[in-house]
Amino acid sequence: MPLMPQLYSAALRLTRNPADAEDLVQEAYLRAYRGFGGFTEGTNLKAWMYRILTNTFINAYRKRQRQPVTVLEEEIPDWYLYDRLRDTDGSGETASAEAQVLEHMPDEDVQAALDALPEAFRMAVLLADVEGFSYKEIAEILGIPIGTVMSRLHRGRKSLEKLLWEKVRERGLVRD
Amino acid sequence: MSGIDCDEVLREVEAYLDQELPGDRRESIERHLRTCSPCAKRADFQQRLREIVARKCGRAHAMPESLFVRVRMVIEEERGPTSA
Repeated sequence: MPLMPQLYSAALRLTRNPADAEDLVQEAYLRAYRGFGGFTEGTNLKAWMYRILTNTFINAYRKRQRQPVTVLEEEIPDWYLYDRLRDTDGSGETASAEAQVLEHMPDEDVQAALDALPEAFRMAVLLADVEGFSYKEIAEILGIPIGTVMSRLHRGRKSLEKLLWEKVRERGLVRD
Repeated sequence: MSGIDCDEVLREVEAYLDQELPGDRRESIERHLRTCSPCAKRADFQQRLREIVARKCGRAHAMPESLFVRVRMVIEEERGPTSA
């Protein structure tokens, strides 16, 4: 079960608490075991496991948590975070200087920002940016068209930038 | 010049960084980024941002060892006594 630590980490980002994350991983492995006949040899085992994990989450935990299906209504401009970091005092001539501010953020802040994204967007960003899946794999994992993957990723990433900017300011990592 | 302007590049840089652009498109963007430092800076920032998010959110959250045992037990139970 070599994928388990990775799946646990993803489960934690999906459920946002350790007890539910453990239950989710256990349930996903049980379903994977029962459904292993449906796995085609030579295809992507990792993507298959993530598909089971996200489906289990969608079916079981979302109902329990009674989370409304949220949409991102706010229109956030492209390059939201870059433009703000660039405009603050203390950022230098290179992109590294702007990104450096983010390096100083505690892991918990970045995790909290990702956790704050509405579920559909959180899943897309998690699968692409943290787990490294392609658009096509994400489309298969979530059972949505590639165009939907792209738009959720685009909007999810922009929202994440806005949430990160809020954290940067809360922490006083930039001077206004 | 390369026949692709900054607006186009910045619109497609997300898919470019996701390595989802077809070869010819990718090459046009690469060529532009080599000569246009404002665009290159934005692309670089976006790349660094992703790396930071991946690193800070993907860090092994010390999965409890007990989970491994628990999952194994559940699966063995499911398997039943016959194939022990």
